[in-house]
Amino acid sequence: MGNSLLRAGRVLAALMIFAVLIAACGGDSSDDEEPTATSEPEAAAATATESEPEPTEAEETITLRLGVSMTPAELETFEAGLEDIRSRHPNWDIQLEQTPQDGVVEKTNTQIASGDLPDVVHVQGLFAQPWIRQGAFASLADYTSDPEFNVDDFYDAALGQFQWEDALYGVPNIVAPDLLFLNLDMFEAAGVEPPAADWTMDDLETLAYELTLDSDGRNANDPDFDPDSVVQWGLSVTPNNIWTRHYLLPFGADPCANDDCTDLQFSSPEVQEALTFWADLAQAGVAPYDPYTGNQTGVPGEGFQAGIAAMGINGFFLVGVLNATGELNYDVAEFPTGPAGVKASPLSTNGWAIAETSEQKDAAWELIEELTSEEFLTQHWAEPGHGVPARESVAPEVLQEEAAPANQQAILDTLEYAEVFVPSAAGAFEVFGRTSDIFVAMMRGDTPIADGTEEIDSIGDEVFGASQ
Amino acid sequence: MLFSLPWILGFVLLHAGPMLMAFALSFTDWVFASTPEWRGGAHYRTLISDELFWTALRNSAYYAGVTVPLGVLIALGLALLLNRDWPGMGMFRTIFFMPALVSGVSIAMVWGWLFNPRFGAVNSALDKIGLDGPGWLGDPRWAMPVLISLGLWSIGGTMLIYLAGLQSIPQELYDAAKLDGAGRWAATRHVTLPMISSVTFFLLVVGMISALQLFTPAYVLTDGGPENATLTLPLYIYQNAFAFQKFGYGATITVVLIMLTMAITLAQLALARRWVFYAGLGAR
Repeated sequence: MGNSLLRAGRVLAALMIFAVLIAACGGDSSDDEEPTATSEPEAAAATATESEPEPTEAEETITLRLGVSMTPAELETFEAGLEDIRSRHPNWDIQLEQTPQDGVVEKTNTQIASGDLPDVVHVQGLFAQPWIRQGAFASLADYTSDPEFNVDDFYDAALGQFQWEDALYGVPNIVAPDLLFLNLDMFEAAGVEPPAADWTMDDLETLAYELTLDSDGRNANDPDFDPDSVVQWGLSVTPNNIWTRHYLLPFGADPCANDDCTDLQFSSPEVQEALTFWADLAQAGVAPYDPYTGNQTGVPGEGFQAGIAAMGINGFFLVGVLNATGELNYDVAEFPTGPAGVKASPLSTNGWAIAETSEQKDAAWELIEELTSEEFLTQHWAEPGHGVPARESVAPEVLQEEAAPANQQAILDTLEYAEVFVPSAAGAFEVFGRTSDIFVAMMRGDTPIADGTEEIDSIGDEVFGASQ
Repeated sequence: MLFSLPWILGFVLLHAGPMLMAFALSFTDWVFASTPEWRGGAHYRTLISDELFWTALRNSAYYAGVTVPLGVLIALGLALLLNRDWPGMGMFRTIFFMPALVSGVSIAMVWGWLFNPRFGAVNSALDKIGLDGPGWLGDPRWAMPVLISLGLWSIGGTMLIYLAGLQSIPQELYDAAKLDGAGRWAATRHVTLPMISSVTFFLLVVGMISALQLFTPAYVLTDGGPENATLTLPLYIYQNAFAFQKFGYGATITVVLIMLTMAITLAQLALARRWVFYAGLGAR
């Protein structure tokens, strides 16, 4: 027994020595002589700080974790802006944490659960309310009341997504209305003029038919058109979830029975009629009923961006993506007016929040001030075309004459009537998750719209009723 | 004791601890940033009337009920075919094992494209012989069979374990059977199958546990759709806990899944006494 323990002790000691040796041989990355061992941002930071004042001994280094979820194009320009901030605050050690957009809700939930949320997080306005009400974010009331910050400069709708009980829990940095994106090459090839400013839903339908092509090059108006062999779609999407209110409002149909849309009325006759318009397009084969899986189009993701749809309904962020790749000859238009004589568009917002668990709230707020400054919003969001600044004073900076799209005024015009996505209350994601399939089935014609909408309302009642 | 400490620590910290935590949380409402609130047995009562839970349970049972026995049968068949001293047999063994080395997400992506209704190789092949292929992953009737086919494609590990089992059967037993006049089928039935029954038992237990945990392909390919046809219990747990922020309810389903798995495993253990043969010990 004694020998066994002795042997075990020796083995453990040998393992520990081995581990220490391995660690020692690994060295500190800061000691590496190879310049390639340093990432680009780190190298840039090093260069920047060389010419900037070093932090004095009294200035303690403050580590700030910054959580974001951005497209590669957004991240590129954002990192450049972050370097400027680092150079102005040499005592800040800003650690950027990027989460792929597909998993951002799940990751944020997990970080909140484990008390590991970054000090400053970039949050989509649509997701913010449940987290705010759970106490995940710190109240910013004391900070935003500072007149120098000028909170009145922000779009009210965008602020609303981060507000609860008279306090702000986040500061919006960008807003992005949805627009109709037009593939000009496809329009030209079909001999069709892009829509005029006063176009209607009927025009949209006509264009969708004219611009849809099957594998033999016939458009959807041709009697021999084969909807099962579409190679070019007229329109890239149809309503496929609860957040498609803007597809319905132009028809005088509102799926929300109350302000925060926790009382759904998809089964109202008006909404059913509006959904029928879109389902007819899907079943005629001119717009996919299941736009993102690639099952119909053969291309995963949104069809316009993939170059297989002549018109696409997308957020403004796509301008930055398309301009960065330069692969599509495109323009944008406002949403068409519906039979009810109104236009509608959703307004996506993003904003910065401070984790309630952060121990660096003052520094985190200073970072937010930097990230929402007029200069930062102009240079790193508006000019590259990633988003319209949430500050009204610099929103027009998004208009870049030398860059596409040509009809940039449509962006600011849409902001006049765009409304934020609802519902965004607790339970919205459960309703979304449990009803998306029903939308697809209704668009495909597998489920009658009357039955599908009844079920959606019923799920809404169940979930929102419980969560209230 | 000292040498088993790493395992004990790992089990307590990574398995038993979370299981106990899930059990405790199943009696609470927990929305992450706040303190869990005691709800007693409310989630268990909700579960009984939750249609989606029963759908997920049926789907998990469907997947496990088909994949496990079919997988074991196919793996045994392959192992019997490959358990020969023929030239090139090593290459075939490698080929059949290779799919087991590919990560679940990668295989799922490949499967998604193979079964793409309009552009996939499967429907293209069916089209060539004049058949109109279904919508596969977009069709509630076919989505689960596609996931089952994906599960069956990765049976290389099971086949390998069977091969090891087959090669451990003493040749003398076959020689004795031959002397008694046994043909190939009789030798397989009375020598091979009993001698590898312990392997079969192990594979059925492990396979059932693994099948009840089906998550990756259902998450990657269909996210539980279409019309909840591929919503499995682990996926439903994930959705409730991490997407719908109903961690307490997710924990409740987790507890039920653990109990269900334990019950099935115990039943398998009880039934094993009737048919599993351990060399030197007889049936146990």
